[in-house]
Amino acid sequence: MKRRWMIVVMILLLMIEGTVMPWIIPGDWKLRIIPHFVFVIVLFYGVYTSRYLALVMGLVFGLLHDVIHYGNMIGVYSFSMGLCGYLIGKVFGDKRLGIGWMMLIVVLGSWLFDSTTYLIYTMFRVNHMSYDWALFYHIIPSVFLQLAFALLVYVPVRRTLDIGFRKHDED
Amino acid sequence: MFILLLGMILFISLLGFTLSKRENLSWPEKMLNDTFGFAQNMIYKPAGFIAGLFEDISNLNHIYEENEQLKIAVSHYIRDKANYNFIAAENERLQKALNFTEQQKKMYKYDYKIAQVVSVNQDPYNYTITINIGEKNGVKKNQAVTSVDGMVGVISQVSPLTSTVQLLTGLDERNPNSNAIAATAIGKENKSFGLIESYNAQEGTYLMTKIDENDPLAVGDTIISSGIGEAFPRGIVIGTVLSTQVGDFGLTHTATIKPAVNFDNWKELFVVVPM
Repeated sequence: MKRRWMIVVMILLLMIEGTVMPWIIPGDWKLRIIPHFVFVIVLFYGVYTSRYLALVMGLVFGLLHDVIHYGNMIGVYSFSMGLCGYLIGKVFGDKRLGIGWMMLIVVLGSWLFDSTTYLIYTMFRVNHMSYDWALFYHIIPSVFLQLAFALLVYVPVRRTLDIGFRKHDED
Repeated sequence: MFILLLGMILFISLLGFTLSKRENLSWPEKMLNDTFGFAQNMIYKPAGFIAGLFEDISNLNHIYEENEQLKIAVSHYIRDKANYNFIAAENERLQKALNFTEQQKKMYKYDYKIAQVVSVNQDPYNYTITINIGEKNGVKKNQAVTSVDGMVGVISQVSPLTSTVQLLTGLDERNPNSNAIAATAIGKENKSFGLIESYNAQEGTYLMTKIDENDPLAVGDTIISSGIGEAFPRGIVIGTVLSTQVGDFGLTHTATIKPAVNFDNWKELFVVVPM
């Protein structure tokens, strides 16, 4: 699969986040397990391509998410996704890490992402809850969903993004 | 480093600008909203249909019970309907006698426009849903949105074919974008008054404030919007009173309200448009 098809897949994932997932996640957990599938793909970009590509992907798809779900303000997801994608790429990029490391990165990345959005909403006085509450209410439960999704798509996404992995596979 | 700093400044100004009150969306935003709304509409419905199939099977046991309750409700409705017709006719006669203007007569008449949910944003700080009617159907910013059970939220942004609903979970007295809802209780419409100002995510309840100390509001009362101030339409169910307390300064009382809606499982919603 060509790498540019990844963009179509990410747009589809963005739509699935808003349409299919609310039906799958049971009622009481609706606000606690938040799907961030696009962000998981951005993390893959950061680890297996370059951090600049992850930054651009994060900014663009974050902005798309912000615009189509415009409630309070635009730019929260864009900023958080871009920043987290870049930071993860800076620390873990170009190391050709395996599946175990990637899962650890997904946990770390989604914690970082949710904490950044929490910070922004608190800074702009939209949120008044404590960080402890946020951690147990939605940050930790969401990590599990992101982890499950990352496990599910690890092989196809890495095969698409990581050119070295693809060559190795063909040999 | 310099670029990072520049990016930060850019983003903080973007956040600040979009947080303030905006009258209209720019055309790229509208275009994106409508395109995604159209595409998501194609996914949301089939997904809901499949999910609903399983739900229906598990709900089969409750049907008899529900049928019983509905029969009782219908009998109540028929009795009230006869009574209502008398009162409505009387009201019309009196309005004519007192020379009400056309505008005054239309004051509390609303059109409930049905809308389908297109997508849901599950974010505890920014819980919004997108619906498939917009500017072309007469939807405007800040109009109330209800479900069958009660008030759900407020229209936050409007595009030509879709609009975004900010749910009442975002209700907050410290946020300049959220309006408090003037409310009263069923059966005590002229005696009770309070403002629904904020939502407590931890408890899942609203806080109703500025209630007079001699107010007859009691635990178990059904709270409806009062239409005073005209920001919200009159007579939409908001919730039931769980408990009442003395307020922060001891001058007024506050009440904890349990929402009438669950904030999950969205299918059809109604936008309340003044006529």
